[in-house]
Amino acid sequence: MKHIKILGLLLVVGFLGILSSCSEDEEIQGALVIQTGLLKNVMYTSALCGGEISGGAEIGERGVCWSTAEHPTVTDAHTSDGKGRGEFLSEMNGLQEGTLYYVRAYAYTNEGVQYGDEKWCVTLAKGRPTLAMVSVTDVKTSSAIVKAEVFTDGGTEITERGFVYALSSAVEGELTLENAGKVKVDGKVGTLKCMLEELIDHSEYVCRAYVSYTGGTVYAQSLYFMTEMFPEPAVEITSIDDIRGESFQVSVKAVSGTPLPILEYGFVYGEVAVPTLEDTKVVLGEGDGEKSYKLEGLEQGITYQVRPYARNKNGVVYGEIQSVTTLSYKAIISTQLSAHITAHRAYAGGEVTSTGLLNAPIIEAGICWGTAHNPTIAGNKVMAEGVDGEHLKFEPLQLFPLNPNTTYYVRAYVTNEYGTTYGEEENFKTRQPVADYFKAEASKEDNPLFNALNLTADFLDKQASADQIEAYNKLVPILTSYGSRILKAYRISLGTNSSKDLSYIYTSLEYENSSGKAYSAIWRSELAVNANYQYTVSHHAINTGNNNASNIINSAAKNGQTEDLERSMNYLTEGPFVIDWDTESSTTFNSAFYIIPLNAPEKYKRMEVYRNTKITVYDPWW
Amino acid sequence: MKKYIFIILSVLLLGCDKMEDNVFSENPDDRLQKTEEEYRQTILAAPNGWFLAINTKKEGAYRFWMSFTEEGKVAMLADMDATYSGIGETSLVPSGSTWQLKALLAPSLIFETYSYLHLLADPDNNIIGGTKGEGLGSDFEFRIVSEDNGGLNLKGNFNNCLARMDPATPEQAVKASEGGLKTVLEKHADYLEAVRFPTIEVGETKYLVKPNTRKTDFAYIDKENNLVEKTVGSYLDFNSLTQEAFASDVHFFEPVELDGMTFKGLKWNGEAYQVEIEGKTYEIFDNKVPPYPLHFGYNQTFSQLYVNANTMQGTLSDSFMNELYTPAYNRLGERSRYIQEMYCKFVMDALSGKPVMEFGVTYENKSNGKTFTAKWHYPYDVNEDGTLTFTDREQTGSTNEFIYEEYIYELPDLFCGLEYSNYGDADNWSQVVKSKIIPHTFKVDWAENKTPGLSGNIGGLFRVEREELFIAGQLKQ
Repeated sequence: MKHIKILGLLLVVGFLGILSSCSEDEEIQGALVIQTGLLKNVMYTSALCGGEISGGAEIGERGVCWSTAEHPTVTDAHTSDGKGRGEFLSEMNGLQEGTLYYVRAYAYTNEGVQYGDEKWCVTLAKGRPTLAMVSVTDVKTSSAIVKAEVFTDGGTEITERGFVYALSSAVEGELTLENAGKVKVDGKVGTLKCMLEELIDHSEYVCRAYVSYTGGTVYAQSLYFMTEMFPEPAVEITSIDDIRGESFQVSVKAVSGTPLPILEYGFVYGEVAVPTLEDTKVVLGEGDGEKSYKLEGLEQGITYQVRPYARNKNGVVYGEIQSVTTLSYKAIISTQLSAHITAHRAYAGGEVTSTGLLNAPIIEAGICWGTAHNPTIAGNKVMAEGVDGEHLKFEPLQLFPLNPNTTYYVRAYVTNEYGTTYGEEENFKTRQPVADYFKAEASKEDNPLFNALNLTADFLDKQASADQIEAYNKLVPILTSYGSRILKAYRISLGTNSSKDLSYIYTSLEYENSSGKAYSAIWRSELAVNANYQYTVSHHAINTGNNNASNIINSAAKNGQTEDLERSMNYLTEGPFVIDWDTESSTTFNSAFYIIPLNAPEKYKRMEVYRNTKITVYDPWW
Repeated sequence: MKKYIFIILSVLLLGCDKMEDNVFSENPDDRLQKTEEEYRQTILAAPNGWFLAINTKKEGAYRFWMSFTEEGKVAMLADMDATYSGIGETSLVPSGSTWQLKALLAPSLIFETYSYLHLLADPDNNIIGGTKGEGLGSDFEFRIVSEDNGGLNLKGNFNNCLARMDPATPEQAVKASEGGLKTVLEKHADYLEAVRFPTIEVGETKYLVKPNTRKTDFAYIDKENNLVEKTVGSYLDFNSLTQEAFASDVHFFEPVELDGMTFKGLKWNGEAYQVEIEGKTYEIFDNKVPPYPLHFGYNQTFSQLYVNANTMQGTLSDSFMNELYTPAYNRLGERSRYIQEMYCKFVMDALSGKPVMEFGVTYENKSNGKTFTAKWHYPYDVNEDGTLTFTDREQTGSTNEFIYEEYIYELPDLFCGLEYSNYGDADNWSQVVKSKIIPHTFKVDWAENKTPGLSGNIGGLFRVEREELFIAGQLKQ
């Protein structure tokens, strides 16, 4: 019995223990906190929110409330998601699409309805597709690759998409499905890309992507591009034959080489150097082909320029010009310009290609030139010798004097009893003046390559002029008479002034006495130059530095050699002269320049470049 | 008895056996995958694409408009061309990447292939600026921190850049596809030009709240008289485009705590920006000058002031121009010398061991194209109210001021006038005898910038007895 009592007591204690351990938590103390939950899963008409409630007292109904105005209350739309503290999840339904809502959690408490922090969201809404052009690439003659991006469908059904395009000149206003060609591209949202084909070459196109959907059609911004141009057609004169006094026959061949057809081909001709469609035109045909045409009613002895052409939609292309001269009673001559052109000289020859229909004797032939087109024998001319019925060709003649840096026009001419005819006109430009090169070279601070021109005995074998050799040789006996002096050099040095302009000339005798001691006798001159780089001696004197020149002059006078001495030493005081290049390689050491008297060009002095370290720049000394 | 005790204890223990609830019905991997799938559905559900704003470490917010496809592709436009003209038309020409959601430590949105987004993090700082090796310090892998307010809050996995994604409305999407990302920033420049110093006043304190293009600056003077400055990355929504408002709302990447207040963003109310602080709304107004005192003087925040009268028209007063500058300019001009610039600079005077104000006039001698400066030193007293009294002036010894002072005397006289008894007889300044010194007192303050296109902090020295007679210029430290 005692055990039963104890057992009963223990059971009671045990049940009390169980009850105690299973009882509810005590009321939580603390301030009321209402936290609005994460506002998520926002869709077109629904969203998820909720909240968490802690603290406070007499917590009753809870949920979220929402409104399109800030600070919603339970008088607005709301959920009811149980009672009391703790977390809860709220489903918000019946929302309007595309609307800004403000949301707060709420709870009824002993202090009335209390609210949590405010959240907001915009419900999803259907709109329209959006798109943009990305690029136009690989633009060829008749195709281009276009690319665009459909970003979104806006919640609608895309029924078609693609590109619209047209020649930009063919549309007014915006490009649409109604006024342009289109290419459909399968798909919905994402990249769309395709090749536009059968485009016209060398044309500006406008293009943009489009998307059709249940609500209509929308377009991207327009992009412009230019297709490449097809290569030009080839056109050439295949032959000019049957040349007569008043006629000749021309054959022209034209080939397109591309899908673009030749709309017209033929040739143009005239006496002008480069005839165009503005001159006389002969249409031979269209498309690819080769045709001939006989020109009639021409003038005798006239040189015509014949130029083939072809035209397609992109324009006109010309082939190579050919010259043809009709036969005549007059002789016909061609001009042959030499490539050797210096600052003051050029060379041109000629060849009589026809003595005329009656083979009349040639009275005169040669070269005429001037600074204007079509020079005639009324201007500058040089006559060729020995041109007759047997010798129809003459070698290049020297055209002298020319001015530096100047364009000249030159024609060969031939005259018989029926008149004078001229060959085709050639032109050339003379080189820069030697003085410019001297100035540039002499202006170098250290060791200019050369600063003077020089003539020595060693140079006599190197294409010296006869006059030059004679002048040298006449000085030898003068020095012998002077006292068995031996001539070592007959030197003409050109020097620059402080502005590095060619301004001085030194004519000197370099000689040795019997003991082998070297001496110089120097004559010096100040030069004046005109705009055409023609020089004259303005002041002339013997060098005052020593008595050598005076002694030689006196010796020559005593021995009747004054004329020979002056012939060599005063050579350049007699008239104007030019200083000219020799060849293109004149600027290299051991090359040559020329001093050429204008009135006697055959008395030129050929001189080598020289670095005269003794040259000092003098102030004017007179 | 032991048997009973055992039974009782067993009952008690049984009663106390609280089996731990299985809080989650799935394991962590399953939960992560489920969350990831929910995010994927959220991203794909938006019919008009998403705006993504990234708060780069170097330059604040860059904004993108993106559309995601189920196939893992994402097309985007970006607002970089608003501030980088050489970057291409990022707001008009789409760029593409691939994307995926990946279950890393948290569900992460990863942009895989190079796109506009990656430009911001390009290590070649010739691309878009920033520093070599990290560009603007941006991210292209983001963990999704939460979904709230209808959008996604993200954080960069590498640079921890905050980012925010919001679904676009139909109207916003259309504007974005037409270059709106750039346009909205360009429109905002109009606001910044019109309102130079956006300010709110709370109590007796003014706070500068300046919403720049990619970040918002805050500044105020605290109770200890220190200038407190803060900056937060911020971005503009499309209200100025879709609602034809003058300005767009400004969204902060994170709230800003300032002087015990929390700023969460700026709203445009049709007339002005407003900010809500603890339930109260404050309107932002143009204070014309910074809303805190100017500290200009020796060893102060600013110690130099430069004046180019030719480029500051409107900011300098008519009194200064008509009474002082123009007469001096013309007289010096008659001697082929033309004033180019003036300055006021607070420096230490080596002889006296005290700070002085140096006033300089730089002019060009047209005959040789060289520039010269005439300089004067002014000792000064700082008065109780903070004003400065320039008590004397000395030339600094060069012939520039000695020869030309008589032609431009109005300018050095502005601060302290002098009369001389023997200037004309002196060979240099040391022989000059002053017969009268006329000190002037000046207030240091900001000057209103009234010159279009003139930038920088503009301050001035205002003569107390005639406040319209002031010299103003660009301040330098």
